Amino acid sequence: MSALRFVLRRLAYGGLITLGVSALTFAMLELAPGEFFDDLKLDATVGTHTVETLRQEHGLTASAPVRYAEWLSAVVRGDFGLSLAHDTPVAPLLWERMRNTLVLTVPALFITWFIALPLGLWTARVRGRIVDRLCSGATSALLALPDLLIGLLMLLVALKSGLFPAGGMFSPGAADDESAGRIGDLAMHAVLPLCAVVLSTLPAILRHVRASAIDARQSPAVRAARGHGIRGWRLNLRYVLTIAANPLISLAGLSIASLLSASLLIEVVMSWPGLGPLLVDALLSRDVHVVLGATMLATVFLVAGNLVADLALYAADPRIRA
Amino acid sequence: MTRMRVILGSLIALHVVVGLAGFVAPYDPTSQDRSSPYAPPTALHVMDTSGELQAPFVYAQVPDPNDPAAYIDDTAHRYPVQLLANGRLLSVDAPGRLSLLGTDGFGRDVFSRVLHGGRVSIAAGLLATLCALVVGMTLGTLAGFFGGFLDRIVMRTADVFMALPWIYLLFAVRAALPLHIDTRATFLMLVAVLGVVGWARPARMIRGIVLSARERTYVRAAEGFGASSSYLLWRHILPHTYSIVLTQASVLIPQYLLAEVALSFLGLGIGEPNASWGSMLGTLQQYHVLMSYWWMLAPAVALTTVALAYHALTALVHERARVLTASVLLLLALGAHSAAAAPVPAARAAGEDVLATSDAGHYGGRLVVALRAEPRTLNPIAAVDAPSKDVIGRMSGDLIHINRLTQGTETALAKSWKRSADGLSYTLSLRRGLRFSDGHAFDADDVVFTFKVLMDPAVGAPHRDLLVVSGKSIAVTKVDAHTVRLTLAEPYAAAERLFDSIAILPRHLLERAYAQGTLADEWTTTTAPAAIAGLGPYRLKHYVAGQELVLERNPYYWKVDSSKRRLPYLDEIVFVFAGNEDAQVIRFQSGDSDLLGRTTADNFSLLSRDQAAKRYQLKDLGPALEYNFLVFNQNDLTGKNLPQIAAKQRWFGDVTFRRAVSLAIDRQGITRLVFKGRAVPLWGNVSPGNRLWVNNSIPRPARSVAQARELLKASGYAWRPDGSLVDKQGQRVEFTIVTSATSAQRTAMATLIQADLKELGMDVRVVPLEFRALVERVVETFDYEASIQGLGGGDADPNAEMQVWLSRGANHMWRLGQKTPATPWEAEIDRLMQQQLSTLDAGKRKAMYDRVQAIVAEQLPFIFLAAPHILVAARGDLANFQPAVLDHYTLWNADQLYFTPQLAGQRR
Repeated sequence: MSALRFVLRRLAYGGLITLGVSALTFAMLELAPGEFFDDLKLDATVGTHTVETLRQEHGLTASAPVRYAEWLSAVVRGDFGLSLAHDTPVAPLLWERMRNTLVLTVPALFITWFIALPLGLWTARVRGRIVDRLCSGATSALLALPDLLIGLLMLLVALKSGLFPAGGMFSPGAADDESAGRIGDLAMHAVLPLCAVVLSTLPAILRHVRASAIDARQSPAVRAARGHGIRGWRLNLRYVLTIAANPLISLAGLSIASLLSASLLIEVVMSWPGLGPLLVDALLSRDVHVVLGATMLATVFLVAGNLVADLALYAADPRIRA
Repeated sequence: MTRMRVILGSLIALHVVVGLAGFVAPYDPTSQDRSSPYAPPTALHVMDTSGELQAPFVYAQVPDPNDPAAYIDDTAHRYPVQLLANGRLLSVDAPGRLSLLGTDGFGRDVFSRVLHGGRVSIAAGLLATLCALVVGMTLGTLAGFFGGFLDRIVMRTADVFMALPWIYLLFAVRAALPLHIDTRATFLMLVAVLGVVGWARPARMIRGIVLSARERTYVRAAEGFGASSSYLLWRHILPHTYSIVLTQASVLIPQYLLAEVALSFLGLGIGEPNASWGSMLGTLQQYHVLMSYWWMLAPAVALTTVALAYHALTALVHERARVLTASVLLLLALGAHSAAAAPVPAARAAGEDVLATSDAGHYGGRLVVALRAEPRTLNPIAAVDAPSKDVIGRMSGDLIHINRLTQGTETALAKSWKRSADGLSYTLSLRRGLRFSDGHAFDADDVVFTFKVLMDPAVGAPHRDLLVVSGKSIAVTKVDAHTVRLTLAEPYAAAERLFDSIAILPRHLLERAYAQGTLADEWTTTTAPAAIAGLGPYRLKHYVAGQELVLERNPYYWKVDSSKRRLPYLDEIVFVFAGNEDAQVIRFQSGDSDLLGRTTADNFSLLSRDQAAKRYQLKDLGPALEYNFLVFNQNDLTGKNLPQIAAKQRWFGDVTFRRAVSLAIDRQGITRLVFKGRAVPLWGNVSPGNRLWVNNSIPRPARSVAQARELLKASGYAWRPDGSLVDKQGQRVEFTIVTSATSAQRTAMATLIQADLKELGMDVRVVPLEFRALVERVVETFDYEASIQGLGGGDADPNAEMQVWLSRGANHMWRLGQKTPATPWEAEIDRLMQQQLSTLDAGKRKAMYDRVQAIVAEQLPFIFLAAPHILVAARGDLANFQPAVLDHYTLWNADQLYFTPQLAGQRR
């Protein structure tokens, strides 16, 4: 089966999956108690008649299948609906926020793998020694810290050192500065959130790299290579890494798939205007169209990431190709 | 081998210690010591004051008189540490305290809570990991081994599972479970669901390995020799997956241990007073706790230790032992572990412009304010959320304004008004020569248009209900270009207070949209600034989504200061979006923002520590107008399938029961522990912050458990030998209090009340719920027993509370949806509230509302708890900063704020 047919078939499945995900998300939204305008019900200044009018205006009074069908037919036409919270179309809202999130997660992805691969390979080599134990301890400690806490600790660093801004993406008023100073401002604001994202994703990947590398080192091929006198980085790159590659490629695919969700809570804590705060708000307030749109977006990334991983797996592991 | 023994040994020791928490821990995890909240770890001494060596002992800790948050040792008495006394490993006699890791906000021993909490947390972590790995391994192996169609189905399903927002399923599961199920069981159920839906990631990775292993030559060979699939799987394929599974386990266990933290944030965690590492870490996420109380990090250390231990175990098994041993050990571990209206002023003949009441200021500067969330809209008709109202309030003008400091009315766009003798019509005289922020002239047509739009039911403006008095709308007519008349169907006391915060809309910009019926969709945050106009001190400059909203000075603003210079002083106000309360505080501390509106007592104390160095202005304005209360479900439950709650309404409906509960509640403890003393205890619905309307003669009984017991006894309740309370029918008195999971303060109040009522023999559970799930129960399904809520905080005038006290009002929370009042006293309140609505004499209104307050304090439909103080902060050089207890607390006089010259212009 040619690669092209494979890719096309996966893309077709991707479309089906996105559809399925949207239907299931919608169903779950229905199951969960409460809806968007519920917070008005405890507000003494807003009467019940107003709440009903608002619900009707925004199309929340129709039955579930009808609402889903309406949404679906709008999506086919390219209209992803209106956000109940922001009263603006969903698509541009998501697009802009996604860009801001990717500014954080894409560099974080590269940095994480850039650190995890060599570090994992090295600790596999010096396994059992003090350095390895220290690394192990540090990864355990990082795994034991929730994202929110890591974000808060970064904010503390900002506060105590005064070197970095304590949140946000730009300084107030700097958003329309057209010059290169804007990039500098953005970079200063991005350093701490980037560190937080890297610290939260690094431990798991490091563990996997190290474990796979240990396995690979014990394989006959690597033993033979060492017997031949191949050592150091040549050994690592040509032998250990290639043998250890299988689970790591799947993991890389999962990393790509989670590009949008890795920084969710950190963005919330550090006021980074990405998908995180938008999604958390939308999820909790049952802003239906935003949730559906964001889930579909996440699915697209997921399908893409898995596709890349599967293609890479086929390319890299000859045992599968056979 | 020794290393294996060491690791296994320490793991077993860990589990044993946690399992025997009842013995090892010096205290009960739920026993509160309200005199020592947030106390640091007790120091163990071996040398006494005279320098002699003694057996290890501790001193009692007493609050430091110089610093209310600190403790010092009372060296007068020594309390030796006792081994194996009182049924515990280590203990000291009271009032000495052996808190090896300090205490939490309720004075509960952190060390004991860490031990007890370990049971739940480790069980949760192991359970979820087990679920995820079992399902993941099964499906991943099947997919990889059989390939083809099965592989495709499983992998596509995995994709779907990874993409779905499972949070809603968890909400749905939580909603489906009745409230009285043990919270630990509910919690473990939720964790198991979380684990099961997490099968996709491990499955993906395992499938990759299996795919590869399947094609090995020896597998092919075995197949050729006729080996069955199960043999191949068991003997050849599965061993390849062990490494991945174990690594996944070492990553997933701490991950699921932590999942609890997110679950508690969402109202799905284990309820109070149960301890668990996740919920303890949850408190650490509050900035002030992180900054001040380092010993609260103990659960993180415990988590790290457990994570390390399991990692070491998996690494070990990876190298030597068989997976079977590991799984047996893990299962054993799992098995071993089974939480005013003011009197109407005479029409004032003022000049065309109002003189500001504060000192003349300097122009220039940019004020940065951090909002908790983004404004949803800039349309005054559609705005219901606080951030939108905050921003819109600075951009729009109203006819008659309530001065936040005096709480009385003053002229604004209307330079004078006259009320007719029968109180049915108000004639307002508008100022002349005013312009909107785009330069267009303002006249009576705009006022008429605004009211027409507001009262049109098709538009659905939320404030419409404020303007519909006794079912009939206000009629607004134009008398001439600068005069309007408003006619009411019945006299309405303090009607002019209604006009505050009704933004006057520009007819020239919105008329067409109104005709087309799209008015409510206009003026979103992304609308171009030129299309928005208002009569307020500022106008929209630009909005950058997710980052900032900038307002600039309105050059056509009508107000001038005492030197006849045009207001406002500030060039710009920049609203940035901070995301949550802690981020707001951090932004303020770092100098990113200049103003902190309405913060909690804990953050306020934190800021007061740097006050001298950073020269902030910190103001405690005294009690707010809002009131927090405990409400029992007295709704009519016929037709709803809630037999257990209906049975309990025997107690809830009995006023003696409610009085007993009220007497047993430690209001002083609440003000001290929840609000750090910055609150006032309440016995009625009007807080002392509402100076004009509070009834100071309602009884304020001090806490008395003995009296409460007397009341209960007189009403037919009795106590069993074990201390638990039973009613006349012999049924144990127990109920659940639901609160909003996001409101730490209300949950804290519930926790304190839970301990208070235990002294009466009542068994109370606290269940924090996600906000919308809570609203649905309290307002729609009535599937709850008791709840902590808060109301008030709008205007000082009693008319703002109509919906609460009228028996058919939408906020009559204890009994919603009744057509006629269910009790004589509710009928009397109805009568009084209606009367005061149309009485124009202020003295008579006060007398009527006083009577309402007295009835409410006597009948206790709500058991009032406390009113928090309004706490605000601003930069030292912000002048004319005059915060008040009415909304908007800090920016109500934004047009008069300015920066004192020496620092204005030094912005980052």
